Amino acid sequence: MIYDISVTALIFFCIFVGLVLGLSFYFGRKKSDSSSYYAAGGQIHWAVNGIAFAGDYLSAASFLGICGMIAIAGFDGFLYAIGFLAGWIVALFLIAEPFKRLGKYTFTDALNSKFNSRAITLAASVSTLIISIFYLIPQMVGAGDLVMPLLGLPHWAGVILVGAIVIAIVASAGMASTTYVQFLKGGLLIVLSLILTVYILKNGLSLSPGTKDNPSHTFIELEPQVESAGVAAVDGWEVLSQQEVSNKTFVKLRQNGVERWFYLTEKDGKPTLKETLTIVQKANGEKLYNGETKDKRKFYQVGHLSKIIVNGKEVEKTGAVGPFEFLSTIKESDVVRFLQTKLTDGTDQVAVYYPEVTAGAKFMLPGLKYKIGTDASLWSKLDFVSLMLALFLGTAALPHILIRYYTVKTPRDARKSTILAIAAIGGFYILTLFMGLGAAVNGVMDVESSNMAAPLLAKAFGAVLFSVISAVAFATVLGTVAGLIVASSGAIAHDFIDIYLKKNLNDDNKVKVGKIAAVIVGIFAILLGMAFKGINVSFLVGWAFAIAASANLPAILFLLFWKKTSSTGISASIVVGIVSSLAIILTSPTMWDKYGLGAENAMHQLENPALISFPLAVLTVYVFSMLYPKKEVSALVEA
Amino acid sequence: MRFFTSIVYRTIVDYQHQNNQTFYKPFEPLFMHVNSTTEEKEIVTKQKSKLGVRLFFIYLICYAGFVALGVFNYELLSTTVFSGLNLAVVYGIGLIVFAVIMGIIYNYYCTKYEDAAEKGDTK
Repeated sequence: MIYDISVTALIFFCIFVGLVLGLSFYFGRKKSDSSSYYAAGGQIHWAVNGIAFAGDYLSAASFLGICGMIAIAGFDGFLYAIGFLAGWIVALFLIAEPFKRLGKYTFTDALNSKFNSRAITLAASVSTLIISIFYLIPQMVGAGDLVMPLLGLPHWAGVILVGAIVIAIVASAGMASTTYVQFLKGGLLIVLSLILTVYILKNGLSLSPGTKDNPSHTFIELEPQVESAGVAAVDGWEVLSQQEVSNKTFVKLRQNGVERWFYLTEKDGKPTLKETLTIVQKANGEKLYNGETKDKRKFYQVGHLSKIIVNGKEVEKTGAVGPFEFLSTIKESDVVRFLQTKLTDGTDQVAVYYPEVTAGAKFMLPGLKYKIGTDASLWSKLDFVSLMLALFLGTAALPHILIRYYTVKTPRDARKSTILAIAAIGGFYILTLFMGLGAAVNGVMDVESSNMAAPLLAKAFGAVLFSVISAVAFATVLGTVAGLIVASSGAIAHDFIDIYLKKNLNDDNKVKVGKIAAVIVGIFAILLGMAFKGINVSFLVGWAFAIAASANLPAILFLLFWKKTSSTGISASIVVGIVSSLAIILTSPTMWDKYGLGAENAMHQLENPALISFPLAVLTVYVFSMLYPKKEVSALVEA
Repeated sequence: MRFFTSIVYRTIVDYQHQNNQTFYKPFEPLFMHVNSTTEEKEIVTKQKSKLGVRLFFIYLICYAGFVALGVFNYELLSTTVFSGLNLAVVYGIGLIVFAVIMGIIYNYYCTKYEDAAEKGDTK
């Protein structure tokens, strides 16, 4: 995508990010003794805490990822919203209260509360580290995507920028994700999404989206003369060559010295050439966008409806629509999505994005990404089940999610906060459906990355809305990244070096080790963020959820609900959970594609590991607890 | 007003707490004191945990129903059920709304159990 920098957007963006960061620092500098903490315990209003809870939870994955996934794969993106929210049920009904009774608030501490075993400390700190890193990857990818249209910087620069800011903050002062900052972020994100949704509905659906000053590009269609050997001639264009890639035919044409690729398909029974978007990587390193250099700005945003049907009649545009009408009209209409393929043309590497007309009825059903119809393969069905399992069980097992549950005084307030959080997050997720679909039909999609769907949609409605939404999203990413880096450096410095290796560091050294660990984790996160560019962030978060569900949840559930659980069972289950889920992820088609070996050659076709790794971890905790039962000494240690 | 002062006050306090434990001793022992203020009767604990497990299974069945429908009777999800919306959208949004309703039910009964136990104490 080629982005123009908008000065207005940039100014608003800086003001907003500055405001959030400033607040964070301002409160961070005020120091006093910890006794005031006790006095304030319970001072916080449960409603503030509830929205702050939502602010904690709604990371880049929710806002950028889900909207983006809905925009390119329709209902399949909404599966993430359903699963992310369902996870809260596990957290609220099964985990939160028993945890509180154990008097422990992190997984490591809770798991170890009955045993005080070094093996558990080691296993739990490794799992915290790995889950945090897998959660960091999508945040970094999202950060890079966000910075591109705002500052006109390439993706890698955005990733480094975020990484550097966060490392600087964490290593110098330590950025707190305070209740107030999270409250502000969570509240703003929900309000802005509501505003965006109102814009979408007011705008309605149109065959030619975009405003008068800024119309969206109309994609051309040509009628070729086709002979048995292929396209013979096209009016006004010179036919250069023809290629077939995975059953799709692409034709290279030339006009006014510019070479373009067209997709040969049929429309109303006649052969038709449809305009595609291409990025050509020349052997000499030159990059051509739609056959021209970058400065010509001949690369477009995509996504529109090719046919709108209201009450059985075809219309040009609908005008303002209600929420149900919006969803049902899309269901009846035809959506044009742009799919990607790659081809080699002589020495040129060509990335082609070609239009594919998808019936709205299909778009509003699961199946475009996770194929689950009758004709779907067993692998893709398993993949779907696996994803839903990971999302359901992952939330409660993420190291950083439950903490806020324990920051209000009474159990009643904790519960009320959580329920408000569920309502706020649930409401937000319903809005993602509208924002995602809105992005899909309003000609705003960036073909190179789906993650910017919601902010780019906001851009179509105005620079200010765009910059404010981007700023909130960016602040969210910063906060989440900072929190995760602190969590993982804590796992290294506190759990691993101090407790496991029994180094007995003094406080100064502990902080020093922690900071070094934070810098290393931060740099690692930057590198991974660059490596995973272009992959949808929700998809990546799905992995973090799967690892969390496999490594932590079986152990914690057995500890809470099965008296015979032993320390060996717990540590073995964490290890098996991590190893099996990691092994499946690292051999998955997406990774195979990243290694450059081609997704179709992967060792298996399962994208999400939870379906295998979770039961395996459950089995492990059971078998090992039976083989190596609880030692009685533990009671003494606990006392 | 108390609402806003509480926000500011809490934020400051939160922050110190966070600073105190940035790289070490996560979340203890500060939090423990905050929470151990209310001792709970064992019977209330049992009632709440039983309710939680029950509600969890109810939700699990609904959630699993959606997944099963997707895998075994995918075509059914495309049926239009209401206001031009197909079953997939209605079931999906329904699951989100249902989670909120379940949360409210859970809170209602937990509060009731706790109140009942407190009344028993004062008698």
